[in-house]
Amino acid sequence: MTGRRVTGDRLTGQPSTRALVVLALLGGCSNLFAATATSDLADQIRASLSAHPAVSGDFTQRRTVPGLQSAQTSNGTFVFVRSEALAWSVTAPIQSTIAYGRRASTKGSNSRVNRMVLRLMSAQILNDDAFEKSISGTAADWQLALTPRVAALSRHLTSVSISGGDHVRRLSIRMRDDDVTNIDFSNVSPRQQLDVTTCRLMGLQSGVCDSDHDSQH
Amino acid sequence: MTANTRATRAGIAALALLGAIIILALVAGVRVAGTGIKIDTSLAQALPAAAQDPVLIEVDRRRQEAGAGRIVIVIRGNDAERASMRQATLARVAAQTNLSPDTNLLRADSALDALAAMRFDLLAAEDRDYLQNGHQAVIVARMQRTLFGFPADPPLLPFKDDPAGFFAAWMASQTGARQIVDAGDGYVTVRSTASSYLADIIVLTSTGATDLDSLTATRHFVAELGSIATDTEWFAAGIPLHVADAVDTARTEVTIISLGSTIAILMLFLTAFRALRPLIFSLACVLFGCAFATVMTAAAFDRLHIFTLVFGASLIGVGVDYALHFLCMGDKSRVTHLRTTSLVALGSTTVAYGMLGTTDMALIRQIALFSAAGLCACWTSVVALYPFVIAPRTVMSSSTDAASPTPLTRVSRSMARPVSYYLGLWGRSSRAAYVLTLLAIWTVAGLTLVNYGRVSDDLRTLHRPNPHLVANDLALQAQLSLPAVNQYFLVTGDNADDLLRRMGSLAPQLNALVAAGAISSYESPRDRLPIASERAQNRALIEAAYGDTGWIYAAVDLDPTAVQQLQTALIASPRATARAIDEALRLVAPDLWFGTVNGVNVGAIALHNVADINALRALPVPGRTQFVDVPGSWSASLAGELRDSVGLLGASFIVIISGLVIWTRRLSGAVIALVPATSAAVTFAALTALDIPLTLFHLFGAYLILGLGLDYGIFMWGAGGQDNDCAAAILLSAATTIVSFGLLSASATPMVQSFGITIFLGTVMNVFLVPGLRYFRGPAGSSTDPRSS
Repeated sequence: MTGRRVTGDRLTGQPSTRALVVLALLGGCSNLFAATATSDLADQIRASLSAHPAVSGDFTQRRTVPGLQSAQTSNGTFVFVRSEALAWSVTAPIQSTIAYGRRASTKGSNSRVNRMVLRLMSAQILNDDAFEKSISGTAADWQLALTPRVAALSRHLTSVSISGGDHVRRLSIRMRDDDVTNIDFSNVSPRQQLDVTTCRLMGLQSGVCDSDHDSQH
Repeated sequence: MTANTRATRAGIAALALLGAIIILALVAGVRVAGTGIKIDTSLAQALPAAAQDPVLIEVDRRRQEAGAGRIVIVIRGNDAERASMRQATLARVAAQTNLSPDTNLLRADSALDALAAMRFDLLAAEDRDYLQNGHQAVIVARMQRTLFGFPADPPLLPFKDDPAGFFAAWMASQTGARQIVDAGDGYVTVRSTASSYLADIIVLTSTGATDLDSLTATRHFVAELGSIATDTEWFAAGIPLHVADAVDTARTEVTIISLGSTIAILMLFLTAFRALRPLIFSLACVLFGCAFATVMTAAAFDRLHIFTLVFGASLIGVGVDYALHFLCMGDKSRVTHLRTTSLVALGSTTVAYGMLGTTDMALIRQIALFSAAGLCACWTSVVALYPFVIAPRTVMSSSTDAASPTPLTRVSRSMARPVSYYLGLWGRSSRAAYVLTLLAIWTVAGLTLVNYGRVSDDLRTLHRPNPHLVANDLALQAQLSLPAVNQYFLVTGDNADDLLRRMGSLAPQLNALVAAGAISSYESPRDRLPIASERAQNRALIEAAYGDTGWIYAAVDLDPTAVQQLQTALIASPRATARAIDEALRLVAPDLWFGTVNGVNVGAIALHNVADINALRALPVPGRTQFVDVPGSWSASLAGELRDSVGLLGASFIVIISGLVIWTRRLSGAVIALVPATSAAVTFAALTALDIPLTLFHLFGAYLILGLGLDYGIFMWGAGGQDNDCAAAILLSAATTIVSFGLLSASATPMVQSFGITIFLGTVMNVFLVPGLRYFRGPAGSSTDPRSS
C-alpha cells in the first residue's frame, strides 16, 4: 500500500517526537553533533553519517503498547534522503509505504515534523537545550542518549537512545505512557541515485533525484 | 464707586478666581497623580462606537483588544538553522521588553484536554461515512498502520484509550493548511508551508500597546530587529507598529512645525514689541491653560487621547488673543473695558467649544472639556496677572512718552503702517457695499458647496498608513492566509448548539460567495465541532465499536483490563453538552467564539480575501446573523458625528448671536457672528474648489474659525472699530495663527492637514472681514457702546 500520510494538527501543537529523532539520526546527526564539537567522537560520527546524501536499508520494528496483550513486530525497508525526506515501507505483517518530508506531505499537513527535524538537526536546538545529551563508545560502536528538557517534548517523550557505527543500527523510543518502540536497522547502504517512484513519493526532483536514471535498491 | 475702586475689586476678583482655578487644578492633579496620565494614541479609540448593538460593541471591543496589541514577527530564509537561531535571539530580546507571548494562542494543552473529554462524541466525517456504510475494514487498516508503521505521530491519547484512532483522525481532520502552533520555547511560533522558504513567526502581545510608553518600547524593539536579524529576512506586522509609526511621524512633524512656528512667532513678537516679555507672558498664559485643561480632562475621563492634546491645545491657542489685546492696550482706563470685552469673547468661544460636549463621541467631548477649561484658565491668568507682569510699565506710562518707550509705543511704531492699511481696508466702502460683499461671498460659496461640495466619512481619508507597513501586513496575510480583520459575520444563538446550527445554515450562502469570488474561503466554528444531533450520531457509532459487543475487539488484541477500562470510560463519559461545546470552542477558536455576551451566545465567521464587499453586504442572511464591516460602520458613525457637529455648530451660532445682540443692545450686533460664519463658508468653498472632500476635522477647524473670528469681532466692536491698538492685536494674533496653522497644513497626516488648512484659510478671511464691522457699530462712547456700560 502506498500513500501519503497527514500528520500533525494546529490544535495541539505537539511535536512528532519519534519521527524527528529517527529522521535526524538516520542521516542528519552530523549537524546535531556539530554543535557539540568538543567531542571528537561526535565529530567522527558526524563525518560518518554525512558521508552520503542518501541511505537505504531494512528495518525491524518492535513496539510494546500498554493495553495490548503482545508486542507488535513489523519489518520492511526505508530510504532516507538527508535533510529532505524519508520513505518508510512496511512489508510485514501489513504492506504500507508512507513518505515524510517537506514536499512529500500534503501541503502544510506535517509541517511540525519538518520544522522539528530541521530544528533538531540544527545547532539552535542544542543551544536551546531541548535535550539532555550523553554520547559514549567509539566511532565504530557509539551510543547516544537524549532526554527531553522542554515541556512540549517531555509531555509525551521520556527518552530516546540510539546506537550505531558507520550508520545507525538501533533506535529506541520510550514514550511517557510506557509505549516503547525499538527499531533495528540492517543492510544499510549509501545511495547516489533514487528510482523515479521513490523520488515522486518523496516529492524530490534534485540531488539524488536529478537524473532519470534509476538506481537499484 | 470710582473707576479705580471698581478696577481694584475686579483685579482682586480675578486673582481670587485664578487662585480657585489653581486649587481646582491641584485637587484634580492629586487625583490623576496616583495613576499617572495615560495617553491613548490609537485611531480606533478616537472613533465613535461602530454600532449601537451592545453585543456587536462588546464583540468589536474584544476583537480590537486582541488585535490592537498583537505584533507578528516573521523570520524567513532558506537556511532553517539560521532562521531558528534568529528566532531564539529575538525571543530573548522580546523577553526584556513589555512584549509577551500571545496568551490567546497558547491554549493548546487546555484545548486538547477539553476535546479529549468529549472524544466519544467526535468523529471525522470520513470515519462516520466508513462506519455508517459498514467499512470498518478501513478503520482496522489504519489501526494496523499505527501499530506497525513508522512512529511519526506522538499519540494524542494512549492507544488503549482510543484504539481505533477516532479521536486522532478527528483531530487530523481539523488540521488547517496554513499553520502549526508550537509553544515549545515559550513563545508561539508558527510555521507556514505556503511558500518554499521557511517562516518562523513569533506572535507577541504588548499589554496596553496603544499607550505611549508601550509604543516607545515596541518601537525600540522593532528598531533592534534590524541589528539582530542581519543575516535573515524578516519583517514585522501589527497594529501597534502602525500606531508607533503614526506617533513617530506626528512627533517629527510637530517638532518641525513647532520649531518653524515658534521662530516665526518669536520674530513677530520681537518685531512688534522689541521685547521678549510679551511673548513669555502670552505663552505662559496659554501653557497654564493647557496644563489646567490636561489635569481636569484626565480627572474627568481617566485617560487622554493624543488628538485631544493636539486639537485641544490648538483651540486654547485662541487665548493668545486676550494677552495680545492687553499687551497692545495703550490706555489704563481701558483695562476694565478690556476685561469685559475679553470676557464676552471668552463666553462666546466657550459656548462654541462647549456645544461639542453634547456629542456622543467621547473624543469630541474630551476636546470640548479640554478646550473650554483651558480657555477659561488662560483668560483668568491673563486678566489676573496682567497688571503685575506687564501693566505697570505699559499702562502707567504715557503712550506719548517718547523718552521711555513702552510696549504700547513700540507696537504703535513698528505696526503703524500695517495697522493703518488694515483699518483702511474697508475705508472707502460703505455699509451697503460691505453687506453686498458678504451676500456675494455667501452666494458664490453656497453655489460652490451645493454644486460641488463633497463630504467624506471614509476612514481612509483620516489616516495615511505607512506603505512599508501595509506591504508587511499584506505579506503576512498572504503567507498565513489570515482572515480579514475588519469584515466578518456575527451570529448569535440561545446556546452553543443553537449558535452552531445557525452558523451551519449560513454555509450555502458562504459557499456561493466563494464560488462567485467575493471571498476566497471562510472559517466557521461550525466546522470545528459537531452539533447535538451529529454528536448523538457519532456516539452511537463509537459505542458500536467500543461497547460490550464492539467490533474493534475482533481486530485488535487488547488485554481484558484495557477492554474494561475503555468500556467504563465510554459509559462514564457524559454526552457533550452545549456548555461543554461552548467551553471547548472558546479554547479552540478564541478569535471566533466569544461565549456568552449580554445573555446570548456569540460567534463569528471569519472571511478570507474579501474581494467584493458589496456582495457581502447584499447577502441575504438568516435571523440573528449580520455582516459586520468595521470600517463601514465607523464611517457611518463618523457621518452621524459629522451631521451632529454641523448641527451643534449651527446651534452655537444661534446662542452666540443671541448673546451678542444682548451685549451690543442692537440687532446689528449679530453681524459679529456673521464674520466667522462667512469665513467658514468661504473656507469650505475654497476646499471644495480644490477638490478636497470635507471631513470631521475640517469641521473642528470651523469651530476654531468661529472662536477666533468672534474674538476679533468682539474686540473690534468693543474698541469702536477704529482702534489702532485693537487692530494691532488682531493683526498680531492673526499672523501667529496663520503661521502656525499654515505650517500644519503641510502635515503628512491628513487629519492634521485638514485642521491646519481650514484654520489658515478661515483666519485670513476673518482678518479680511473684521474691519467692516465698524459700519454696524455706533460711534464710540454712544449709549449703545458696550464700553460705556
